[in-house]
Amino acid sequence: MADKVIELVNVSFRHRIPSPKFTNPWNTRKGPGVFTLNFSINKGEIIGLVGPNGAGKTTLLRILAGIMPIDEGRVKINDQYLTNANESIDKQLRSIVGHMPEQVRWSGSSSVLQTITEFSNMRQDSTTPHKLLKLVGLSSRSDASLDELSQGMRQRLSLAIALMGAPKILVLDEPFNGLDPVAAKSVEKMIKQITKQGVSVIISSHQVSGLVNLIDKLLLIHRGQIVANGSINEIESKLGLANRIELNSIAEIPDIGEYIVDGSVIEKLRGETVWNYVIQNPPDDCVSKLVAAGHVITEWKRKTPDIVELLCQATGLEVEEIGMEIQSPNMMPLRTISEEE
Amino acid sequence: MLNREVLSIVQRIVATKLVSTRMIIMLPILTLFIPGMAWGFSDPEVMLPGGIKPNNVMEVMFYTSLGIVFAGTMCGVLLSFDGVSKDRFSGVLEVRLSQPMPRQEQALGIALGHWFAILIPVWVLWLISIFIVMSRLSQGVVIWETIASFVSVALVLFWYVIFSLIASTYSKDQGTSIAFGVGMWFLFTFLWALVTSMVAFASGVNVGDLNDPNMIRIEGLLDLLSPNGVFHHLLETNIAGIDRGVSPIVAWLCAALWTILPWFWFKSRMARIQP
Repeated sequence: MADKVIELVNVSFRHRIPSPKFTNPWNTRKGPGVFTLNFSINKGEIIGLVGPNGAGKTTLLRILAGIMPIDEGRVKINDQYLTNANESIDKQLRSIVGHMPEQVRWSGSSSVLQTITEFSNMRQDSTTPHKLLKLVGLSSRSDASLDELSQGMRQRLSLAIALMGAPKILVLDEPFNGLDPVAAKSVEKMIKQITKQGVSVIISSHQVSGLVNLIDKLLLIHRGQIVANGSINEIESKLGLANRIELNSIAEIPDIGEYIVDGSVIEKLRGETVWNYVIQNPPDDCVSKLVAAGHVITEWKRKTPDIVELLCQATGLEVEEIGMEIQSPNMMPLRTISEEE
Repeated sequence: MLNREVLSIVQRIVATKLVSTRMIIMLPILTLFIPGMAWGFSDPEVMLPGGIKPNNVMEVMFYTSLGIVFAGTMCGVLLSFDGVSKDRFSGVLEVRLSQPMPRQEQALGIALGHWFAILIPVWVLWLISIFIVMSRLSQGVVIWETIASFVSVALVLFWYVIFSLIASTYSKDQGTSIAFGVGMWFLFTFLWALVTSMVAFASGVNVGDLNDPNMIRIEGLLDLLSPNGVFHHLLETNIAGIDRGVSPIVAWLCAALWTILPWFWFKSRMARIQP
């Protein structure tokens, strides 16, 4: 059985949002958040957290980082279940989690080295700041002021701080934002190296195509709830998206239905030179039969997983619907939690 | 509680604020107001309204304290109005809050850092002012009176800094926090006289007569509700012959309340703040 570093059981948190009343202009009520989250992170595992804007990804990451409290549920750390009644829960989370928030705009006249030394003191970390700066490729800029840093360099500084104190879990919110392709690749490589040392990583990223080859497990989140959890292949199977092939032929195949028997064509596109088909559950001899019937097949391959497609399937929404959906303060969770909604 | 981690935050804030553009702009203003006033009030020919002529160092420093009230406190507000909000908007606060260091220690570091950033230059200028007055009046000072004056200056600056920081934890934009800080400064520096007059008038006191014992008593009591007023009560404990109906013990007790209550308010805000 895999070694669980952290486990969340029915964890919920809801933001307080303004709800002014005549008698109390500062009145607030419970708004959106995350609801009854259940998942665990194993040692050395890389988890991708994907969901549309306003789904609750950052809230979940902040809960893991010990920045936001939990309203309900339990968190298991170090073989001990903690609830919001345990005052030390946030501190325990913060001591095992390294957090890199999205787009930190470091500024000021302090140098990179001074900044990292200050955080090193805050974390009581014995690792030398120079070692961390070298790890993230900032050692040549250690004397530069924060105002002089580019966005990519600021991201690297955030990453160096997240790596302080040898965290067991690394929480990365959009770590590839602002990085050039080479730097993004090196961060990706570094993440893989870190996991080999037993550190677990949870990454929230909108650059989903880059996640496919990096992550071990995927968490799909929508309206504050986890709608799918597992490896990409597992989720594909659960959602009925496994066993798909992609065919390219030089001409249209009008009678393709005859060759795929119980399968179905789920996508048919005419390209500049080829016709492209995506077939779900094709029989094993489908391609050989097509070739034998005289159709010219230029390419066929297993359809690679597409995280956006998985998200659409898991939420039951179309790409356009997810893309245009804007989280409003009044947005309902998928399931009603209390009478307040 | 004042450990290495807290001192590290204090050091960073002081180092940044002391050389900030704001400080460079404010330093001439502080110099003009504090040693400048000390120079003026210690002139042997000076005659203040009401025929008052300050004749010892602490009396001159009492009038010089107007420089602290007008310039020192305003500079304290301007230096600390974005003490929390700036980090919050930039995302840096999120990184800080994710560190294992307890939030109350972080709050202590932030409060002390901003306080020291304004206290250091003001104390230096206050010390210079005392030397100027001593030299011009050719008089010495009583050590404990001098210490009390330094403590009073430190406290009034702390009150303004801590209120600005509290506003900074609430504000969703920079404008709100600066409006709160400047508004508070304006209320206690300029409008408090109006509040005092209104209360006195409502109490049937002759507002026009500043030497009316009832007016002096009401003014003394209402001053306990204002940081500037408490500051002056503390300074008055050094001056003989002043009785505004408030004993030094009450003045120092109020000073303690003005210090402790906002500090706990700020600490509790920092404990609950979310990025």
